[in-house]
Amino acid sequence: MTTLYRVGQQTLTLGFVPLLDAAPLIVAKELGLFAAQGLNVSLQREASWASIRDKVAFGVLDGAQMIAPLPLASSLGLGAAAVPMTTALVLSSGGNAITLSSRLLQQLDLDPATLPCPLASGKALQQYLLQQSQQQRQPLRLATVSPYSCHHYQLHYWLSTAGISARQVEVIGVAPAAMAAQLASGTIDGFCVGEPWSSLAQLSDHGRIVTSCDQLWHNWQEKVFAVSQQFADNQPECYLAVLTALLQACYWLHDIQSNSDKTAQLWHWLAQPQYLALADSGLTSSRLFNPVIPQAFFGAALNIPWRSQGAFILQQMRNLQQWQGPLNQPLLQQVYRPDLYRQVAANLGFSAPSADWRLEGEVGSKGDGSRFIDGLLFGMQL
Amino acid sequence: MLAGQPDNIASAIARYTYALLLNLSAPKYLQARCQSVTLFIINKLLKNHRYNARLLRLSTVQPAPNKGIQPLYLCRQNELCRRQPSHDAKCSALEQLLLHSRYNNAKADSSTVDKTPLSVMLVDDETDRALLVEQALAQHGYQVVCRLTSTAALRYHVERVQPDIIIIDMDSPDRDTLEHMTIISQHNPKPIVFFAGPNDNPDSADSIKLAIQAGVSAYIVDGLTAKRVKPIIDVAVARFNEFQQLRQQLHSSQNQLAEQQLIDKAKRLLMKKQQMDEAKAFSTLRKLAMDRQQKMADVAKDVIAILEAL
Repeated sequence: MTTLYRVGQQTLTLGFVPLLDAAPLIVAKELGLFAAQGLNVSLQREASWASIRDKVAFGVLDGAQMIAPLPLASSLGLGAAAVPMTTALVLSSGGNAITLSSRLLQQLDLDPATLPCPLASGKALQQYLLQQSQQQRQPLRLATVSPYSCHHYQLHYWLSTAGISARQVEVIGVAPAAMAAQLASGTIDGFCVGEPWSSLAQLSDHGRIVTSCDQLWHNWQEKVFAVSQQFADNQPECYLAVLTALLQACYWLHDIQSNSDKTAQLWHWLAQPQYLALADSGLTSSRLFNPVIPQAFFGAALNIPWRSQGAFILQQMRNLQQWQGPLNQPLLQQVYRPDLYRQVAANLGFSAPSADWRLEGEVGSKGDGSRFIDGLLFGMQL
Repeated sequence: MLAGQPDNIASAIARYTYALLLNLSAPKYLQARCQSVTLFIINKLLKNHRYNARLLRLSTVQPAPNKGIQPLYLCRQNELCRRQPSHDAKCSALEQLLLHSRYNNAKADSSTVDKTPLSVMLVDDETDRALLVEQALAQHGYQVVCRLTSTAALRYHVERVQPDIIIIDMDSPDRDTLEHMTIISQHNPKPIVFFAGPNDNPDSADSIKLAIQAGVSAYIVDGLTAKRVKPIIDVAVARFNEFQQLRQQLHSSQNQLAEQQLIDKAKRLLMKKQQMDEAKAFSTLRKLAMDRQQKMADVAKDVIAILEAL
């Protein structure tokens, strides 16, 4: 089989964190899509996003699945030394959810069986916090996975739509796999995490999902494939070949939730011990994707790294005082490469949007635009 | 108590305060209040220690060279503004400032500062490896103030111990918890960051890459110089590598032992059930192995299975 890119039997190591949305990397490997590009790829499981970031920064990994804000944070030098990183492909959207402990829901006087819309449950939480502050109790403690993740920003977004400021609650970092246990022990009162960890926590009955993050930010980039700028510069053909294989994998995962054969096959792959080790998790092939938490891997406007979404993430960083600076800056042009995406998509015969920026918060006629729960419109004067 | 000359301390405080104000993302009116409250505390404390507060001239202060003043202090200051804390609280906040200004003053004042022993916290679920690192560090004169195998109460211990350096297993899922602590200031008495960037210095990039490959990651108090941290990291990396080799050796010798036991068992069965002597039993096994081009242990396994089934 002839390949489009000259990669010359390149051996690559790519990193992933055991989550459902690591699927594109695992599918690309198991389906032989990397091999078809002449790439010899080994996948390496990592325990933390910090580890992913450091290993990509120092060339121990050639590329990795990343939470969408991480390439930006790394390029800005937030939380670590500044190392320019870049992405040209969004791997997934959705999959995150906010869970509150059953104990807290009881105090909020919310019936776990019929939870109201996220705005109403947020309001209930706000009222509760108002009473709490008069009684001088321990502050509410919520957890996310990384300070530079969509989870973190989505959790704060939900709180702020309910009129709860970041100062009123304590937000800490907890590894996804430890969330359910910490919720059970009462260390935390709620969390925002990616699948399958919300579903697993709900299975263990210590908490209830109050909202999926797709309800908060609809059609939003969640995981991206990122490499260091150095890798992108030094091995451009190899980079394009990896992107091609991954986009094909995303296409394979298209409509997976309505295709039981594909989900069974995917479950079989993900379940393996070197990937997500699902065997004893209680998660079966038919329950791999939680219908309450929409998750998508492919779409005409989904896989392109919108610079407008990057700008919005920068604004979230600014809101939470992680960073200060102008939103429309050259950095976004370097970190987000929709032009490379278009090149890869065109070679595979997929249509791609011709714009780099769009008005975020406008669903559009095709329904593939983004939408914020509070009706926000986010646009930039270019 | 507070060491050093009044001038040094005053200028250190001043530089620090200025950096704080620069980094403060609070609105302008809050910054102004912050400035006055900080000055008030500084005056008060300096008076307590009979230092001349007039040495402070904020207008002549230069911005701190390292921009990485972490939000802890910012929030501390914010809180000071909001709550009007007790005198003790103000003093302890300033003492914290002074403590850190000592690190920032390291270059100007290296003779005295370098004598302050750095405290190290080890987080590693491999107990044996952690012990190995602790012993090695002790030999080099570094104090390990806390060694954690379980990371369940990591946050609590970091707050309690306030280490200068945290060395943590690269593959620990709790690294993201630590990262979070760098931005959640009021619960993190010490700013912690991964050290030097790869572009700053190619040599240090190589040594960091070696550290990452060995499985070592580190967080250090902001303001510590790479010169002081490197020996500690080097010790940890050496011991992590040594531990890895030890484990491989152990693994291979365990394998050898298990294989030898299989061969012995097959020999015994042959002697018992086929009435062979030991030499004959051994040569039978060896011939089988050569004929089938298999390892002795694999042949022994088959022989055992057959003979036990008889």
